[in-house]
Amino acid sequence: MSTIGSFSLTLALLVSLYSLIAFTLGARTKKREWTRSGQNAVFAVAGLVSLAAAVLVYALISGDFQIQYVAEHSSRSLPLAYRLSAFWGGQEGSLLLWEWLLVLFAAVVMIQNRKKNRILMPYVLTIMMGISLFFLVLLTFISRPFQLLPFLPSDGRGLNPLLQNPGMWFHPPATYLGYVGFSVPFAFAMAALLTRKLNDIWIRSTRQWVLFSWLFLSIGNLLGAQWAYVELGWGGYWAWDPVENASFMPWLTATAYLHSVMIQERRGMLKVWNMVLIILTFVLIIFGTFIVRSGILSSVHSFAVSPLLGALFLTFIGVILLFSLSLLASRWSLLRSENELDSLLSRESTFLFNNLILVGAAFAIFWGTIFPLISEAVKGVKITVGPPFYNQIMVPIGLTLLLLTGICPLISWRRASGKNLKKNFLYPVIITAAGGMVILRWTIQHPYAFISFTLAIFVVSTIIIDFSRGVKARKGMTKEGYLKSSLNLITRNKRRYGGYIIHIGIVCLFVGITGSSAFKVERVETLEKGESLTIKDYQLKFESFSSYPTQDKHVTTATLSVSRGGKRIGILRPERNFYANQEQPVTEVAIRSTLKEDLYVILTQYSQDGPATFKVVINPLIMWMWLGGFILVGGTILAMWPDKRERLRLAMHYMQERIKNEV
Amino acid sequence: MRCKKVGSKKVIVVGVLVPFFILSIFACVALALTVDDVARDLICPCGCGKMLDVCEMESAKEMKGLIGEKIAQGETKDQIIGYFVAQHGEKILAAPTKKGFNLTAWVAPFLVIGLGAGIISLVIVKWVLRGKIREEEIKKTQQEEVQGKYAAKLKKELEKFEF
Repeated sequence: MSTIGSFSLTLALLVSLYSLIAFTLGARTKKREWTRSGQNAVFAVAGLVSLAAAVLVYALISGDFQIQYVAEHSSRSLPLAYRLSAFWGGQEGSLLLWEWLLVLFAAVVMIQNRKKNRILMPYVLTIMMGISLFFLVLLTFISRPFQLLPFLPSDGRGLNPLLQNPGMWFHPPATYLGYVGFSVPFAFAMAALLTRKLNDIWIRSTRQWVLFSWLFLSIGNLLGAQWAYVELGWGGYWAWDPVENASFMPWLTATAYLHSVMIQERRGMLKVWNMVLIILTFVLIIFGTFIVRSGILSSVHSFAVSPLLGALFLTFIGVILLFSLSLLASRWSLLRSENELDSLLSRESTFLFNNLILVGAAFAIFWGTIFPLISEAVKGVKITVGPPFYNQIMVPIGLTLLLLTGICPLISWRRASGKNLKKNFLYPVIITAAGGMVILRWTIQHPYAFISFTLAIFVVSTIIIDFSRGVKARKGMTKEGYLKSSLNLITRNKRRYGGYIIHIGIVCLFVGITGSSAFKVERVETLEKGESLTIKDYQLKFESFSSYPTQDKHVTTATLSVSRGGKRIGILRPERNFYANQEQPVTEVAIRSTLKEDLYVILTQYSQDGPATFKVVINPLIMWMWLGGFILVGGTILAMWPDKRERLRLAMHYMQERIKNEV
Repeated sequence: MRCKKVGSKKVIVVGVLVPFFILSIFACVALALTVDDVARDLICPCGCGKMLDVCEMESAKEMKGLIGEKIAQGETKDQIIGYFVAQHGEKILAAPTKKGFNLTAWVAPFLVIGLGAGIISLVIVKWVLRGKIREEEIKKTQQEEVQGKYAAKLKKELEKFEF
């Protein structure tokens, strides 16, 4: 089987190289045959890489331990679901996943554009196949998923126990979908620069892809946070680990792009800036992949350290930067703004500041991530840049962003008058002031929490007031009922109200982050059976202890009854498990979640029939984070839902382009 | 005019005194030092890379115990952290110090954002001014076109007119 896998990857590499040549010739000679041949080659590469992926899946299911990757990341006792997820549990498999998604996306893009974007497409596919070629070189020569062992082991080493969580099924694929998805807008941007077709066609053609990638990157980050929360057993969800940072940075620059692109669509401005943001997002994605695989920075997410792989990724980043920025510089004169700003105070100018804060946040994280390397190079001392640094730097930046989230949507395009400002902000400011007075009582010891909650009230009130105005206006015009007006208003302005819903999701995220950071309560106590501990108004009684083997691990569970105000409200069972192939025990926390707070219990130490030590954490409002995640997903789906008018507008654009070309 | 003055006074009261009042309330609240307050600024010395306050390794427990003793002896947070830096070096700190070269870590993000804000402000002003100049030029050209048209008409009429 491994021969089929290796052969299909080698063949895919050759066909990928051929497709690059075919597209280049097709674009140069304007001969359709070459382009068509290149397109067939893309389908062939997609098929061959899919075959390699299928071989790896089969090897993992059947336990073909002769293959080094299968032996190192799975075992006979590993449940089937985790055996399958071992596909992306290691270096080689995750690279194969990257490549597989990339060629599938290339095929989808090709099908989507088979009757449109005829000038752009050969270039788009050249860029995508160029990226694919890089990954295929890695998979064929450096990081081979079908490398055979010189002997046949009786069993595999198994999957890292920390990866044996349902999160393994969703977090890495979601993150990869987001990562790889951004190669599509990047390819379109480069194609637009290469062909000098710098109108907004490339932007409109990739709008769904940008939203799709942003959505999955958001889901990936949130699922990663949730996984860390339930699996790592330290009561937190974000440790500002270099790899966490690496997936957060492109999310920030992509968010900036999602906002600034609106200015290009409406006013024909910020063309260079949008190009820069797309390039930056893609480069940061490759930078993230470089961090995970090079071992240059220590991280819980790191794969096996490979300096060669790191060097190749660094070179790839250099090539992308050199190519894209020199191309951008050569087309500078074609990217001039079509309009000027009409006023100092306008939606356009506030969006520029929103972009500044988002890109500034990405820079702050980038700077913190690489500062240990800079310090080592300059002072010879490797220092730690951990959560205290990021918390101090990011809190003011985050709060400024939250403030702008409330302000930006209510400022008029082109020019905001005093009357407009008063109309839009008077009531939100009054509501915010009143809300601030109410919450002051609980936040008196936490100024940042006070500001965060107050701004949350501000943002939500601006959205509600703006929406209710829209409903009122529509109701007045159409004589529809409130519900129908609301629904019609949303469905006819999916992009706008999808954006508002995303903002509400972001507010919920801020509420969760603020609550769980500022008001967290912790207690560590050693209890004998029958003894209790009290934390806030909860009483936890250590009832019993059990220890039993399962197929792949030895489970130790403590049972605690939980009461509140003398009333029993539930049972919590934190675990500490020993896996056969691992030296360290793995903690399985027990959580009781409500909208108000999470009661989070970790079994830190125990002795058979003796005392056990528990760490109990109360994380207020953390459920709001996950709720915010769901709202954000809902809002994004609404915003990217196909719109008839947009489709018509795009069809008109394509028609005009076609006529122009034919003429 | 008088009304405007009263309005601006109100703005001063609301804009300056209210935040000052709120901040002074926050400033009055003093908290006692806890083990976690100190442990949150340090990392575990065993090499696991975890923050000291969340690490459950033996070495972390010993270190937290020592922090507790030092707090009981009345040492301040800075004194306790200074003690551990002397023992383990700068790498024990969870974040860079705010002096010397390390200060750049703290300053650079805000410097970049500040610089960016300055550049954006200048660009916005430039674009607005350029827009206004262009608008005026268009108006002027239109006026000239109109005036030129009428001037030619007038000239023609005058030529026809016989005195």
